[in-house]
Amino acid sequence: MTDRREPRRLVWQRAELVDARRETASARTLVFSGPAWTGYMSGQHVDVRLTAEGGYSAERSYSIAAAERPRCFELTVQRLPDGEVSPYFVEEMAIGDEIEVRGPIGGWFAWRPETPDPILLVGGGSGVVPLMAMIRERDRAGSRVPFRLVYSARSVDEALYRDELADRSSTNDRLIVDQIYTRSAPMGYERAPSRISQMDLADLSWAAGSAPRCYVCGPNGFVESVSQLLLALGHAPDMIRTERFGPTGE
Amino acid sequence: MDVATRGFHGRETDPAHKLPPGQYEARGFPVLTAGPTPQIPLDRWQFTIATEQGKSHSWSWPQLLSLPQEEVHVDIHCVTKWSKFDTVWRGVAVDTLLRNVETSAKFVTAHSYGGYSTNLPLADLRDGKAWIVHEYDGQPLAAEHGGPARLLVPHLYFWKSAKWVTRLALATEDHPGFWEMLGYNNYGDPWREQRYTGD
Amino acid sequence: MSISDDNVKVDLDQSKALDGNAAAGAFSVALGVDASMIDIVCAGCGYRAPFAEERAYLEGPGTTLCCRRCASVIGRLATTPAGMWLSLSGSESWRLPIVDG
Repeated sequence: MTDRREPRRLVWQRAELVDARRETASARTLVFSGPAWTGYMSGQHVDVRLTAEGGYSAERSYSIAAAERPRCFELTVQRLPDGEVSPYFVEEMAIGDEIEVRGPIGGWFAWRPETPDPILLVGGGSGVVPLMAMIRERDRAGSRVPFRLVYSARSVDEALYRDELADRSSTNDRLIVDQIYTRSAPMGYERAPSRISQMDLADLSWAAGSAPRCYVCGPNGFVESVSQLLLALGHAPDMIRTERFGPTGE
Repeated sequence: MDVATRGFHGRETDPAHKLPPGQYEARGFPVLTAGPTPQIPLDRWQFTIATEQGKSHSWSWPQLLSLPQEEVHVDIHCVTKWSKFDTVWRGVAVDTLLRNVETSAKFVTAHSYGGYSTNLPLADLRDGKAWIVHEYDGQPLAAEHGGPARLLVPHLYFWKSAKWVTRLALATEDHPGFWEMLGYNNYGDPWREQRYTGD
Repeated sequence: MSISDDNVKVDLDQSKALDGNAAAGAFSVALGVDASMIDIVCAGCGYRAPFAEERAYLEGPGTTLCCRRCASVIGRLATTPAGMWLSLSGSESWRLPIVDG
């Protein structure tokens, strides 16, 4: 309904950090309160703007991870090694500090509970953030749509939302979560660490004949490979939506 | 809205150097991905100066490297507000390339592989103010920084220093280039903070 | 992903580009609709894709949108004190999403 009427929300607005929790050694979830925040579609993102004393400013985009509390939204930020903005969010920003945000933005890479198709989510690294938003939204809406998440992370320590994904999938027979590791896997893990392959996707998702909608998100290289693999498995191009986070990452 | 974000400093800055108005010093050399990166094989690379009379003067890669080379130490200033001090380049002075070019043109459009263009007065490419450079910091210029060769015009905002330069088209009239047509200043002097049209 | 410049075929590498999602905020402000949902037909190669899936470059003086197939420029946006400058040059057409009443 309000999906396409973006502009009235698309001015820069203040948002204040009201809560934060560490997800991994290099990632943190930040909970912002924005007086003008009225909700979002899972998969959407916000643009953020940070201004230093003296006027230098930097803008970035971050996927919304959740919006549990009224007038609040959450971002999960992964600290990038040469990042300009991510180190601030992960290491420095304190409760009470403010940024400017614009959004929510983007109805393309979004999932609505009314969509009847089975959903395949393939995330690499911090690409799991908008996919997690979709999983949370699915549960919030009481949806019974079949969901499968294939989540590729470098190692157990760098995987986001492990406990929550384990909880949600264990209490929900239509949510299946599979974790693959690319650099190091736990001892005895059934799959040796390696990059995602066509076989992984064939094993861990529905056949193309089931016509799932696929959402792929992560670093450019990951999204590029996974898209090609899905096409090779027979998924139709118009059933695959992608969001690329840029060249950094695995 | 005037909101300063507590604790956010951007990249580290060094307060010792003189900056044009509105600029900040960058410590690294940001690779600002402003468009697709052309991959140009050296054996097909060519640089041309085309006069307003339709005459062309062209150089292949070996020909460019056989011309007198200069090492250039300059500060550079990007319109997106970062500046970098003491950058070191190696290349051929545009004066050298213009030596045998007969022209009464006053304007130049620099064209890049990939379609980018930017315009300047020809006078701003003469008298030791501009180079076609192919090395940065002692290394061959990387494609992401405009290699194999880019224009270097450090006295103007860096969008005038066209990456992947392939052609200088001399003309009697001024033709605004890629950003000059879309709100950016036709000249671009950082010391007078000429960022935008009308500044 | 090759174009001809003075008869020299040049490959254009887009592997470092973001996608249209990153540019959607600014273009949505300029156009008054959800830009991510705009269907664009490239004038260079005829390829049609949603804005969100095209390639976006945000680090230049302005934002440049390029065709994901042939890398031609299909749109640009510059935000300046005088206003937002929008160019659709390089596109055959932009189909904007319907705005509900």
